[in-house]
Amino acid sequence: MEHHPTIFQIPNFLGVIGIYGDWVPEHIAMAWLVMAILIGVSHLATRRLEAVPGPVQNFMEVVVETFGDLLTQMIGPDGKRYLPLIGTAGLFILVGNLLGALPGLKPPTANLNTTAALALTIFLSYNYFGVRQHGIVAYLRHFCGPILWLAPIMFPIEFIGHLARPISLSIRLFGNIFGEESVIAILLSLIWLGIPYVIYLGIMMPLSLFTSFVQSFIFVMLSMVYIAGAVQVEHEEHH
Amino acid sequence: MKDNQVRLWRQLAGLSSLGITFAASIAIGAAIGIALDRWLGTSPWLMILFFIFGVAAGFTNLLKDLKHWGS
Repeated sequence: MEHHPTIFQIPNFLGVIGIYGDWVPEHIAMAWLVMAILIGVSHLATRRLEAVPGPVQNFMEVVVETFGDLLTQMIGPDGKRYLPLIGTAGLFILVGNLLGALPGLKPPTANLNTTAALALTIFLSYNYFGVRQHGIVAYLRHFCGPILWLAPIMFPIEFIGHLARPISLSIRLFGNIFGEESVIAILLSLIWLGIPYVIYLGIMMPLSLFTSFVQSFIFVMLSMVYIAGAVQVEHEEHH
Repeated sequence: MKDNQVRLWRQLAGLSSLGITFAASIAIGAAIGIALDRWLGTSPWLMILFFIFGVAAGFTNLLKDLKHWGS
């Protein structure tokens, strides 16, 4: 497939740490762009906090409240402790996916490295939260199952099951966004035929907006499920 | 969001990860086994053992998720 460079390029200044090429790799440059957008909007929203919020502050308040409510519903009254992690991951993925829907830009989440970094962060965090909540012995005991003599079998099984989580998180997000991005790239390369233009605007554009929202939402939802599972181990077993 | 809407999304998220988790469990099991074999020089026994662990982990996850979200 023909390679379409993105509009947004940064000259490579990372040669000293072993990254080659004339430009910073696309997914890294796009990830930085997403970060810049998020930081900029957050700064605009919180620069002058007012009791009667302006439009930007109002919008961000709604976003943060939505995340907070979700966390309270999924994890419990303690859920808002995890708002910084979940909110940042969710907003980063959502903005990244949506940027990818614009022609000429690529979503940073269409690269496995970005999604793997996100999924690993979630994986390490929820294990840390579990250890912080229960202590390391109690948290590891949960891995061994209820019956003591089955523990040597249960531990590797649970361990492998937990390791599969970041893989499924990262590959699902990467696969969906990369696939959508590939279809759009092929359609755009056939645009001289005329008809692909109609398909792009009529089908792919709404579809990619839809997958952007659904995929970021599913990522956030699963992260919350994992954190809830790690934090309320005892509670889960009564079900 | 309403409670049953959250439940629906949670179900969707859980069910959408069933397939990949199942395959990834088996692959991770086999990978751990191969790595241990290389380290301890016991090829191919640990690979077979951990492959079975991987399959078991896949089925455990599958059954747990189905029990949790399938109803």
